[in-house]
Amino acid sequence: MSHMVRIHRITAAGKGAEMAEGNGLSVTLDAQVYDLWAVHQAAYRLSDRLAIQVAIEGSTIQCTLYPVTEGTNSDSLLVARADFLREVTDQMLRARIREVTEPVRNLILAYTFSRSGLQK
Amino acid sequence: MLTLNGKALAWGGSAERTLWKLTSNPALPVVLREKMAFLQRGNGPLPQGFGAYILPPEQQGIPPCAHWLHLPPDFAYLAEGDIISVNAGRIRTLWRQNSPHNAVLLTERCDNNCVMCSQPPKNIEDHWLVAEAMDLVRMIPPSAPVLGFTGGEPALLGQRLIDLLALTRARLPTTAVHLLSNGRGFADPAFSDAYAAIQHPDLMVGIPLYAADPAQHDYIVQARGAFDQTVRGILALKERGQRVEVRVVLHRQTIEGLPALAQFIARNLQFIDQVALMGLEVTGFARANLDQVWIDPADYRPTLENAVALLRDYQVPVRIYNHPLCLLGEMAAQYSVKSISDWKNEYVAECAACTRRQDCGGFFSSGARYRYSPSLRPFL
Amino acid sequence: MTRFLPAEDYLPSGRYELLPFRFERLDDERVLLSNMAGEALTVSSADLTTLVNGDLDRSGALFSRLRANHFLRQPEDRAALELLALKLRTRYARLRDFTSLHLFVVTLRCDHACRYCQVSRQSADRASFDMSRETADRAIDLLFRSPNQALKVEFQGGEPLLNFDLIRYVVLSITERNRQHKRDIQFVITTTLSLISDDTLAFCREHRIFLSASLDGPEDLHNANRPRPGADSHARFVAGLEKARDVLGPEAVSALMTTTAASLQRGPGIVDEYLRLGFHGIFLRHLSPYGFALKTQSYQGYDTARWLEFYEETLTYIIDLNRSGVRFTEQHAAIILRKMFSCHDPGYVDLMNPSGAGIAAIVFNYDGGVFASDESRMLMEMGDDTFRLGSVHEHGYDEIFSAPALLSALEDSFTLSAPMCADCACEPWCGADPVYHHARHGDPLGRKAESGFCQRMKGMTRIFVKAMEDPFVAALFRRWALSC
Repeated sequence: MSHMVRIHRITAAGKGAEMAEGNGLSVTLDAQVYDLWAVHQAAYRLSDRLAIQVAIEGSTIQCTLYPVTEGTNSDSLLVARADFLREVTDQMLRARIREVTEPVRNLILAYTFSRSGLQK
Repeated sequence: MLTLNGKALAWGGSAERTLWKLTSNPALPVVLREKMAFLQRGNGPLPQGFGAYILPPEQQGIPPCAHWLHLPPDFAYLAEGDIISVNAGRIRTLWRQNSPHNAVLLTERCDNNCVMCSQPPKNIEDHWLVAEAMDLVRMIPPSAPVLGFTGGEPALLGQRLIDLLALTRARLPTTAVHLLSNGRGFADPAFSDAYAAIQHPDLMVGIPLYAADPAQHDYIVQARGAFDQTVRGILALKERGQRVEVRVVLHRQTIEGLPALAQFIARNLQFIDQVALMGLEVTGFARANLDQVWIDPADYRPTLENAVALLRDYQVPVRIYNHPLCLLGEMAAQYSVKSISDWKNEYVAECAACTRRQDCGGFFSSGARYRYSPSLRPFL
Repeated sequence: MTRFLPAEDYLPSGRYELLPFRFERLDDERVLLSNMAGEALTVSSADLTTLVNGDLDRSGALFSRLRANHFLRQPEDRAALELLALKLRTRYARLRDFTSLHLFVVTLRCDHACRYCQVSRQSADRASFDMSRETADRAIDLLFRSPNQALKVEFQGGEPLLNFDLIRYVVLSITERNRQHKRDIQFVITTTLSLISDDTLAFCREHRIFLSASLDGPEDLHNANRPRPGADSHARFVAGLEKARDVLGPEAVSALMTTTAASLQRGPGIVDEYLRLGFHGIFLRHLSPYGFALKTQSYQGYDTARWLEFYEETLTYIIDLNRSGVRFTEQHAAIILRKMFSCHDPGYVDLMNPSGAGIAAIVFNYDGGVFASDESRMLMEMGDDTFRLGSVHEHGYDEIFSAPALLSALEDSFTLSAPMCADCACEPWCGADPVYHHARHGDPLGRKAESGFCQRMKGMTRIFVKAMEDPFVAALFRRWALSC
């Protein structure tokens, strides 16, 4: 049961951030290049390892990464930062795919549920 | 190889095209004789009252009728119940009563122009072919087990094809009908509606699909957009509950893409009734483009084996036609069918001692003549 | 020859259009793509970027592969859309059938005291823990309300054979009523085989009842996992198995294994035991976070990463068995692979979307409580009645199947709209498990980044994709997938 309790403590965003104050790692992203949505998605994907605080400051997106697991050293936090950046990039790519394929997806779904007959 | 088209050595009577059903029965009741052609075997007296007389070259004397011809020796196979078309001394065999491989040519026009086409299309006005086929269907005995319609592209006939199939259904209600088509015409819902509305109880359409990649299929059939139409045609037919066979001719341009094609069929067209994998017929364009299309079957044995395994795993019924047995892998051999039309089948010297000729898919006679695998190994 | 145009002339021109697909990185180099129909391809990381940027070379093999497999299309490719729609329709066709699997928990009593067991009771008190005929009658009423033509009735426990009289009653009564309904009904008893008797087997034979048994591995491991008086669980299993095969035939008994911490080092040995006992496959199952598994800490005995290690090692062993000519299937893989290789859902309740809970399966507990899944009633034994849909004694069919507990769990866990699932390449092969996520995370959706369920599915998928780089394995997996 202790496992479950720990998870709850960590993902309570504000509290987690407060606790970790001082040992976070910051990442600054250009808001014209990066999408806030993609940053959030990436943060969610890494939420087993990182609690990420996101703030808009002027034309930048300020992200502060806090380790979730106890005993995280600065090296592994740097690795986590690289993973986060890669994940943001992937999320941008995902958003792009979703955006350009949205019309055709709707067309396919319309076909799917409008006709019948062939599936076994 | 049987000769199906030829010229009479001599002929007399009307130059109009007429279909004749042959009989060698001199005792046929007189009332039935007028519509039949008497097939004379050897030199002898001729019975009276037949509509026409098909005679051996040695037959003496003028027949007791205006319509007659002297048959060239390569038509000697003609027999009781066969149907021929005679047109100013030109003879075409349309129906052989004892053959399971009767295929009726409906048009020579085609909207594909396949690089290995065995029957190169001609852009000519040939509506008379389908009219003749209608006449033929009325003459074929209803007991006929099977009948094929081929082209060219029969779907180009539009309503005339529908009419022919409806007539066939009415006249030959228990005859299995196999139609060859590139399927593109069926992408038109109105046409496939009309086709399905015939409600033929035993009709299957064989449609070639040569690659999973539209560009490669379009190249092989030399028609841009053909893949898309063909696939939509297949879907339209299956949506309407029609039976469809997908046909793949195995040659240099299809082998590389065969694994992908098998996968495509399994994932997308699993509901088709059969996949026919067919050996190459070295005639027509295949002969002209031999270097581009020829591949030794021994070289694609593993590829074919894998494709067959995949289709088998997906429970897509698969058959291999027109393919020498000794060039198939162990598993593919189980799906081999002896199928080449009897009039096109031949064996080569290497096969003389083979003990499994009876089971062999065999050769097109064209292959025996122009190109066949150096890897043939007779079963001893 | 001038009549024929070269292949290059048939390559498409103009912009290509992406079709909906999702991706997941396999490693630094390679990316797994899956399209709407669950068809997968592996490409390089650089190719993915080129693809999305619209710069893919039209004459290349990759373009051809992506076009043929419906990851992209030329604007004029109409068939691609029709085919994708058709495949999607096939994937969701199962939904029309509604509930197929009906579980009858005929008793909670058991002669075993397994460490990880969720529910059983070591009690002689029949009255408290056995299903009554009255309860069974009501459950049977509900069973015949299912619109599904094919029904599966599974007897669960405890050890169901301890209440065999009721099994007999239910089978006879369903068979009798089915003379009118004419459904296709299959019966299964989930049993340890320890109490199997000639009478039981004769009845099973008469009514074509299958037996689903448990075998955790070699004798010492099995007996350690499954204590019973006399410490003879394994011996009884083997004796029962042979006896059952004598009467019911070689394939009438299937077996299921559960991985405990003690199993982790012994994958190949477990497989060998299945092989030795004449099984043609094994279902490598992880522990669920329910019941005594949690209480006794056996669920904490290993984490998902460790289980995946065990799984990969054991799967590799099984693959090598096949390589040496022995046909042997890993059935857990087969179920997931079936979704990767086809659009025909294997109907495995734990991996369906919408969740199979309540839709594909329904559980009638010994006391008449109705649950959305076997796990739901295990949760109940832990004091959480979230997925109790009602009671056969108090509620009718409509009330039970429109219970808010069921509907909201289904809706909230629907993977096509769930965060992380919606853009996960494994989604087409995965499923929603609201009961698991409720148990672990307190809500039916859960947090996927932390979800053991999600890690396990993704991990297994990676193992499969990696293994299938070997053509032998690809063909083997295809066979497993399509014959399961």
